[in-house]
Amino acid sequence: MPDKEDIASIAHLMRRAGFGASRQELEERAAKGYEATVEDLLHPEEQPPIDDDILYRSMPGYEGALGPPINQAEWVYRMVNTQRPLEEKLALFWHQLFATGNSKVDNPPEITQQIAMFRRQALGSFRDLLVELAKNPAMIWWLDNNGNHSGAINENWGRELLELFSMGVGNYSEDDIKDASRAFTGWTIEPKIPRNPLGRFYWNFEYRAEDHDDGEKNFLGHSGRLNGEDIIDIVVKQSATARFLARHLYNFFVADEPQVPSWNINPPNDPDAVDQLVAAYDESDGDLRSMMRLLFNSDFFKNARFARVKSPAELVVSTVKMAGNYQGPRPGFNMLAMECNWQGQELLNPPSVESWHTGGEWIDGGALVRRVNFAAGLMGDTSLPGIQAMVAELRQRGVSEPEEFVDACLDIVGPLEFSEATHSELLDQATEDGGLSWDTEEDSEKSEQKIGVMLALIAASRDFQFA
Amino acid sequence: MTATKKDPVVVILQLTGANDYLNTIIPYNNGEYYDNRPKVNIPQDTVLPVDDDLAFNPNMAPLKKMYDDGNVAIIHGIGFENSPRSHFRAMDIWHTCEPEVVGTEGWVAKVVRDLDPTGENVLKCVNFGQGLPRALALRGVPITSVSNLESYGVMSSVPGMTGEQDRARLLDRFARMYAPAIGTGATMDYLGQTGRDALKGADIIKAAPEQYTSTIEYADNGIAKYLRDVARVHTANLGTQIFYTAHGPFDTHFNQPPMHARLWTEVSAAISDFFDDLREHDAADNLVMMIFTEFGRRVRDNGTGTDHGAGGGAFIIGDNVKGGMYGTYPSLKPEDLNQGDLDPNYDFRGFYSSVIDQWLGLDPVPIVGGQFEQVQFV
Amino acid sequence: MLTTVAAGRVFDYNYCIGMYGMSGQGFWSPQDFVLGEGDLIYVISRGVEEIGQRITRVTRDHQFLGQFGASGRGDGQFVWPRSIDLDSNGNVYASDDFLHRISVFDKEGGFLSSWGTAGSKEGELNGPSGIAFDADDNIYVVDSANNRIQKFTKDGSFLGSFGQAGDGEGEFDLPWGICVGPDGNVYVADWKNNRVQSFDAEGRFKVMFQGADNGVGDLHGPTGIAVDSEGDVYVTDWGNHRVQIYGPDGHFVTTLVGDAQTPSPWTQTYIDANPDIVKARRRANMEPEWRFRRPVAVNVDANDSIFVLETARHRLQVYDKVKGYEEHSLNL
Repeated sequence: MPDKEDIASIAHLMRRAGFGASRQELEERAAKGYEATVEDLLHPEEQPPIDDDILYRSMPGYEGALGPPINQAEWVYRMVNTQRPLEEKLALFWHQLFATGNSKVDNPPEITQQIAMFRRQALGSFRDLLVELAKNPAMIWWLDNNGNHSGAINENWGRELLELFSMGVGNYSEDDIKDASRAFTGWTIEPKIPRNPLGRFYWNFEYRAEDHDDGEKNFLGHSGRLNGEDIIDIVVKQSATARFLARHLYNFFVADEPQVPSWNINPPNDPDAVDQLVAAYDESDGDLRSMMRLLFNSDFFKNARFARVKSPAELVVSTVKMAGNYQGPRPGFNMLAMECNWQGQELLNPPSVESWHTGGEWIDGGALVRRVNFAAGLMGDTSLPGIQAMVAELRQRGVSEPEEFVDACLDIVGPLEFSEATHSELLDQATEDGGLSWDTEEDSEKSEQKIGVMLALIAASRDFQFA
Repeated sequence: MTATKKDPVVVILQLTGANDYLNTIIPYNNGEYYDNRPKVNIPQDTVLPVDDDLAFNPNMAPLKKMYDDGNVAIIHGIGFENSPRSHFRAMDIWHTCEPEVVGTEGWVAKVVRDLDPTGENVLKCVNFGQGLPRALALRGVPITSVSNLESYGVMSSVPGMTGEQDRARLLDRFARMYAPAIGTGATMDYLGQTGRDALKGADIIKAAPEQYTSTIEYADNGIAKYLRDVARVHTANLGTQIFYTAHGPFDTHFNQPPMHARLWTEVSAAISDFFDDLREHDAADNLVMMIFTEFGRRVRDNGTGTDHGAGGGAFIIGDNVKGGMYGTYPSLKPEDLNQGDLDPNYDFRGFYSSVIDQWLGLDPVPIVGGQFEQVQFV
Repeated sequence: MLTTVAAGRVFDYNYCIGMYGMSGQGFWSPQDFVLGEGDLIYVISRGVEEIGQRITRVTRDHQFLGQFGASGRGDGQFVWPRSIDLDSNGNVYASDDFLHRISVFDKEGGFLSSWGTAGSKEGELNGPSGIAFDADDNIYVVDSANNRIQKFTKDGSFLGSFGQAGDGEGEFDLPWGICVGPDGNVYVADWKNNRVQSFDAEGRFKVMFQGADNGVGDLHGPTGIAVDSEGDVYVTDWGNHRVQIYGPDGHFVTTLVGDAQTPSPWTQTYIDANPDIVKARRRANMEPEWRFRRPVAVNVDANDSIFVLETARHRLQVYDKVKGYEEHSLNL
């Protein structure tokens, strides 16, 4: 039998590598063991994917969604219902890193295709991912590479590839950007079927040799008639790339770092952790699965419980999974998507190519009010199946005394590790309410109400904002 | 809190989805208009004429009356060059004043920062709606966003907590859970401060519905509800100088005539009721309302609706507004159209600058990013 | 190909009807349709996330006559509208696989009644999908999540059922569409089993439609079925974006892939209002627009014209089965 600490470790892993898991799933995974669970997560292909036929049968409007928030709703559906948690979490990671927005692309299905590409490439080689990214029609349109012509370069993609997607500021020259851009001339998309009242059409990558500048280029010390793939081959061998990617992984999966634009000034909070991830990158030739394996099995990860502020998508999806009321297709995923939006994270439409600011910057007055009300509203609703299961669990454990009541609630919701200050407030509440009793029907009903209030307070707390 | 009653106040009303300007202020004696609008036109005999050229949409009678009273400034041909046909991109440009690059800082938030540099009054700017438009986004500038004035605040959604006592107890617990605590870290401190600010804002704004009485009966729709909320907060003298709200969807690709008629019926009546309400409270003289939309719609109709175009119109409304027409109504002649659209002839940043400068008394240049021709509406 | 010649049959593309519309003229993720009196067509739209659900009345020559039914859970409203059929009086029946009920309207769209109880007991419904009337004015309902076909009077009194979960003959895996052929046989789109089965009126298994062992003529998620006057069977092969045609005994005849090279008048008007769209269409390869995308329902009229409804293109494509087609022996 896994003990409480085993469950807490798995709960931490599932919050980071996925969007949390039910108590039952945590216990099953803990019984299997931590490292075995990591391997399961690293091999999503061994679990069934979302059944698209079932989804589109129920929700035909999700396929080729005409506009937001329906495309966002579809993604939230996948986050809530996936049996491949790490694949979906990595898709969100790559979306955060390679931020592409519908505000400009204005073809929701095309960004959805990009996210599907992230799922396919999530745990492969970083090089292949960058090549796919360079050929991705939404990215080409987002960063104007369709306007990058031989003899008339547009540097937008070339610059962001180096600055935001691989190496980070300060590791290349303006001339490197120019020649990288020249190397990507001719990487464009086929003429688009325009929007019309017959639904959206996908775009297609097209390489136009006649528009490619095939001349001599100099890039990061390499010379030759470099093409786009050559640029990426050089980029992925740079130590700056390994370091930049490692820090992004650390920031997303381990603990909040300072905001990305300051990284060339502020060193990492845990340089040793970044070094370990860089070593994993180097040893594996940029294999993402190897990096993730090292990360999840590391002490720096295991010791980083509740060291990150949940993004709105994490808060919404993990809370809904706990409440258990969005399993399978049903109306309402659009409202979950809007909730992410109102909390400050409009999925598939990040504010700019620099993406969302994370950590404490997810929080402002409006966002906090929404986070608290959303989570407390669900966790306090004892009619929902996931919450009913929690009530049943507490009853089955025979929980009664106030302290026991608080600790049992924190245990079944997490296990969560709350600050002493918050814990003592919860205990005051439980003491005032007089603990739980299950003797009569009326007692049980009252206990259920008390549990609803306790869970709502837990969800409303500061501590609950962390994953 | 010091209530500075006669500080200038601006209400910004966003018509989300791109309002069809041609069917709002109608060139009702222009043959080109009817030639281009075989299905989606406003018949000549139904319009509310202003002069020999232009007329209000028949569903805008209350606004037409305010226009006749001299309280409505209409700004023709507003927009920007190379207007994108994408709602999202165009709205971003309106929100950030950044037509060239993707901007993230909202122009309204910059105004709020100039009005209240220390962020002392969390109610300096109040948004009515769900979530914040990008116009209100700027790190460090607190904006209060209200979706429901009656239940605004934290812990408003816990099931079964309907009684005031229950709610008060939860709020009290929340305040204790967010009280300053030693040694919990910078982010926990920040969360605590933010939570306490939210409680404070909610506590203050609670006064608004409590103090308000009025003889005006607003209609039952979204914009009427939110403008009534604006009136309730404005008349409570909480120091709010910027109100923001939106109505829509004006994205009338399909089935436009009934949708557009309903929307303007709602908007016109709500605005008229709103100003009547303010006058009843002697609170109309220091307030103007700005109305904008992301762009106009195609000149030619598509059979049942109209598609994304360029060049629309904007409005400034208020008792101290110099009413009338400003600028030039864009030409509908085929040779003057740009890709089938009206060609905007007045930069939207001039519209913003007019209000920032003439009404709020702030320097518009750093806010909108340059010097732009103003309309002299005051 | 605009004309398909196969196994002694000729299918000739004629024209298309419709376009996307959030409300009013147009369809939104349409699921099913039925040919009514004269040239009237009723199309049922699923919309998305509780917007756009309705039944649209339109004529074969593109007249929009209005809509009825709306989003919601009250009388005459839909959450997940799925299938539609007419009784002998022309009253309109529509299934809703979220609300587990059948709603009934008069031919003008006035709400009359609804019936259906959620559950798995006899006469109860779980995710009712396809519906079809037989010649006696009784109605078959595909009780999808219960993996059975139930037969009711038109007021909803239970008459009988057949089928159970599985992949053998007479067994189903989330069946979708249904039709009653001219001979009174019942055809069921056995969706997750990738096949169509036919039954006699008593529910006895007759013929399997699923193509040959080598994959020719196969199906991926069939949804709708129609049978013409000669007994040929048309199946919307939803997952493969095509229509498969079989002979009466189940042998595969040919495939239609969609040929709407000329937009419907509604669509053309829309295009003409947008000069940049006109230009863009001349630059692009437009073939993806011609082809079926999620064909979902098919009906055949008395002249053996074949109407195919596409969910993702919000339109109907119409083919004629040409009799007496002459192929001149000139070497072109």
